[in-house]
Amino acid sequence: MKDARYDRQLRLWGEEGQASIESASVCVLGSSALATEILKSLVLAGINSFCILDDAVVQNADLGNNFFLHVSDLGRKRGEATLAKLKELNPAVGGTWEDVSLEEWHDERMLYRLSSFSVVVASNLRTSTAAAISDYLFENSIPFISCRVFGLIGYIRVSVREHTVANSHEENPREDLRLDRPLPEFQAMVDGTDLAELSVDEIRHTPYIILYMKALKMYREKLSDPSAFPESYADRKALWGLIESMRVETDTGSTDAENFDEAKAKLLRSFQKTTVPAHVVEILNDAKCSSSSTCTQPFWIICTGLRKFVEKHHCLPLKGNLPDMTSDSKRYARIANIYHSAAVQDAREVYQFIREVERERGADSVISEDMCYRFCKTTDSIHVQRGSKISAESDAGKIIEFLAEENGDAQKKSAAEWLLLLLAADRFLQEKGRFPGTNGVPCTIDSADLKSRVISIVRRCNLNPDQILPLLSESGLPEICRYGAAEPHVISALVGGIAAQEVIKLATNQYIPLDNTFLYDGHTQCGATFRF
Amino acid sequence: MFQDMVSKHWQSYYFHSIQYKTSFLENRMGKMSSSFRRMSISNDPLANNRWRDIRRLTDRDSIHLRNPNFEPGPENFEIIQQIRVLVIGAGGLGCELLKNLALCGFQHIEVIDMDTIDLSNLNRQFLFRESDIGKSKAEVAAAFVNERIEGCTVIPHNCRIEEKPPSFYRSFHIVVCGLDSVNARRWMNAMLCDLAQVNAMGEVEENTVIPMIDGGTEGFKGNARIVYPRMSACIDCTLDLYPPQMNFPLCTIAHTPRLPEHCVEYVKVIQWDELKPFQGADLDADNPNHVDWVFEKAMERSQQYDIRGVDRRLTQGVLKRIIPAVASTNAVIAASCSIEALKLATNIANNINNYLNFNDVDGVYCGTVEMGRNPECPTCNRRSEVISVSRTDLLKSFLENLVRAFNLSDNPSLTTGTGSIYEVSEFFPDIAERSKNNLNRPLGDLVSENSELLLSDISLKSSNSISIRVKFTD
Repeated sequence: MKDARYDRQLRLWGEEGQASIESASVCVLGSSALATEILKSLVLAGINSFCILDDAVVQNADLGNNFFLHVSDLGRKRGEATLAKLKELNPAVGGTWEDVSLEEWHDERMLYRLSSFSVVVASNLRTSTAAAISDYLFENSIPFISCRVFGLIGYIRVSVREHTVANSHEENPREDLRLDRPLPEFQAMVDGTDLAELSVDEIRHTPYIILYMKALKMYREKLSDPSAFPESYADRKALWGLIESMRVETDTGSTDAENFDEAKAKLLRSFQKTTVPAHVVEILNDAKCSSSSTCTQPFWIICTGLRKFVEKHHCLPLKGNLPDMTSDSKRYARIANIYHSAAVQDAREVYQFIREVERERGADSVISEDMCYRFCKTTDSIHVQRGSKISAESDAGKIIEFLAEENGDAQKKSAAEWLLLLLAADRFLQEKGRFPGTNGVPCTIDSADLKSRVISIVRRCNLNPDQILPLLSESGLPEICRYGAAEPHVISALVGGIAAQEVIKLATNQYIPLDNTFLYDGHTQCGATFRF
Repeated sequence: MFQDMVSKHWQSYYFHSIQYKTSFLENRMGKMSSSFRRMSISNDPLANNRWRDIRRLTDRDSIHLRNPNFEPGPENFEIIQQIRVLVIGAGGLGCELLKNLALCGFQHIEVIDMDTIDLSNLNRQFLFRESDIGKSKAEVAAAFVNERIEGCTVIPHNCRIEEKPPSFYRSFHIVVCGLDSVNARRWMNAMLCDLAQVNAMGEVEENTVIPMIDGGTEGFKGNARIVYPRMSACIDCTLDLYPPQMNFPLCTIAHTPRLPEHCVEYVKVIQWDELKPFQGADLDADNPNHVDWVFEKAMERSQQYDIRGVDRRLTQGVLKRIIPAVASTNAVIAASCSIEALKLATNIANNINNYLNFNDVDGVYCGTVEMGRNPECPTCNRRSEVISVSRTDLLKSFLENLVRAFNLSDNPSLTTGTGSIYEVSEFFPDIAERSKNNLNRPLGDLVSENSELLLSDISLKSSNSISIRVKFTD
């Protein structure tokens, strides 16, 4: 039943990813359109539970932008009304609502409460409040996402102390054929194959990986260098000439053959030296992989085991999957099995190292042999991301740097301008008790007011407004006032979808999260990513 | 640059055509003065308005936009409420589209889908519940939105898109597609390209152009695009964007299987017909017993050939050609499509030009590219057949000649960009009645020389119709 319900997503993140999602508890601050759109995708995906914190009361404008409200909810508490409709989406997901006001969110007791969740998501918090929450959660290693919708502008900020990725899903994973250090059993199979004895049909069904090894042998003999390996374009061209010479003619005089075509197409991808990628070396050199570390997080224990394997063998464990190639069934199956068995063997060795590390660090044995096997399939794409706290002050300085960057990308500059104007709108709110464009006064008056907030932000960064202001377009300020802090449903749905996927990334540890701020502009429908 | 002109040009037409169609001009003055009165109060006039957040954008001016066709004012929202939008598909994208359009303020929405609800839909098609399994997607989705969003009317059509006549599609201002099949997308594209008429001067008649917004997703990737039929790149202009369907060569499946997929394909293509299980029933990938049978046989074959990796999920994936899907990507792409629909209706911002790519596997990417037209595109750049006739020929004999010339069925239809000359279907008795009366009228009264006519018939498979032009001999 559960398998069938989640079938289409299990094909993406697997049972392991789904299990992580099903153990995640997510806290969402707010229950407006943006908050419910985030929750919709999370409840559908099957998180363990969610908690809405909000004390707002349903108003008319909520009925125009929030799908999880009905006209009969007018006047009710918004968190409570949306909770019931969100829970209907998936009976397996638990949900609660707490009647808490925005102001309480950064008092010590509430912050402590927040640190009991797997992920905390804030909707439409001004930057100073988000920064206070981020300060606390960052220290406590709880991932935090702050998102906003402001007219046609969308904003997502991921604040996570450390995010690790294993079992990633790369679209074009690196092939791991080890042609430079062939598996002994495979080498024996190649040596036992005499192309001269094969029939025309057998040659046309010889897997290209065997053709490679035969050609490589000739290549080495020709160069009188038993360890030569094609690395440049010229090398590969020479090698290809040798492969071509193995072609045979059919009865009809044709030398066309699929396996030779594949051999040509895959040449560059296949002839890669077996190395440990630099980003993996960096992770293995992390203090948490050192023998003196006491870190007991599963990722770091596995990586420490991996480090020991790499120290011994000077390569990563074999992935073990053989790409598809034209062949008769028998030889393909034989090679596939050789690679598979070797990968199982490598994984078993890594697992022994992991057990060693667990004992050294006094950790419970939480890593199963199966988990280790799956980890070993993608060790070349493990990833560690270390983020930063949200801080209005330091962020403003960086935003202005992006704006002032010479030869900067125009789209990114425009996005940086929106970021700066959002900070200015927050100050406007702080000083006037409302957002620009939210009362009857003409937008031009608010626009001038907003400009003075931009100037004061620039001054606080110890910069000269006369130099910075000309970097801004003339249309941004009045545009922000036009928006009047509107939260249109469509923009909320878009931002909510992206934010929900970021939560899933944080919960599954299989994908690389946004690093760390995304700004979406509904005018162009283009996004820009900033790192603060 | 050209695309830009097309889009602006179209928008200016669009705005005026809607004004004409909704005749709101009559009471425009009265509404303007009342909104002016509200403006004079220093409180936010929209503070307690249900549509406050959309009307901030539609009522207020924007110098950021720089679009001369945008005239801020309350009329814009009234236009949204009058526009007729058609949503194709009530699946992952369709459910989101209906919600989004309803919360943009659109009130006249129709949706077509022939599918019924399955348990595996529920991880993203949020308008459906377990108790809805087996029911029509279009009907359940429409009923849900109508109940939830007061004032919005979604009319469901539980049928194939091919079952609707051109006159049905012509009645909409915007078509938004949320489909998972390239063929259905191409059919819809061809229909809208057919409806867009070219006049005797070779120019596209703008009042016949119905823009199509098309979304697609696969896993964490998606795209959204806008097509102005016969004015900008259409689906068929850019067919190479779609990956070719994976087909395994029969000889590999039969003689040299290597992959688990080959084993499943063998059972599907060869063994099912040979062994005729379930009393010779056709293979139904939605029938769990059938899937189990295929799985078991594929297992046997994989063991025979020493192939690893056949399991039930893979078996079903191969049989149904399943595309993985999550709620979040559908939410993003449907929102992106709906934002473009809102822009088309109101000009609150410029439309994208003209193709958006989204991907959030590694970080988040969202950006647009411009797709160019293919000058050779047979769908949006088709040539017309010129047919010589006398003004006094009756429609009846003209149609008989066409049926013979093009090998048509006995019920073809003949339409212009704006109306029907002959179109008989049970859904539109009025038009059928008029069509029958036309049979005995001379062509000179019914069509003008050199203007494009569309001949549609169920027998015309590759496209929906043939374009013809009449040349009078007298």
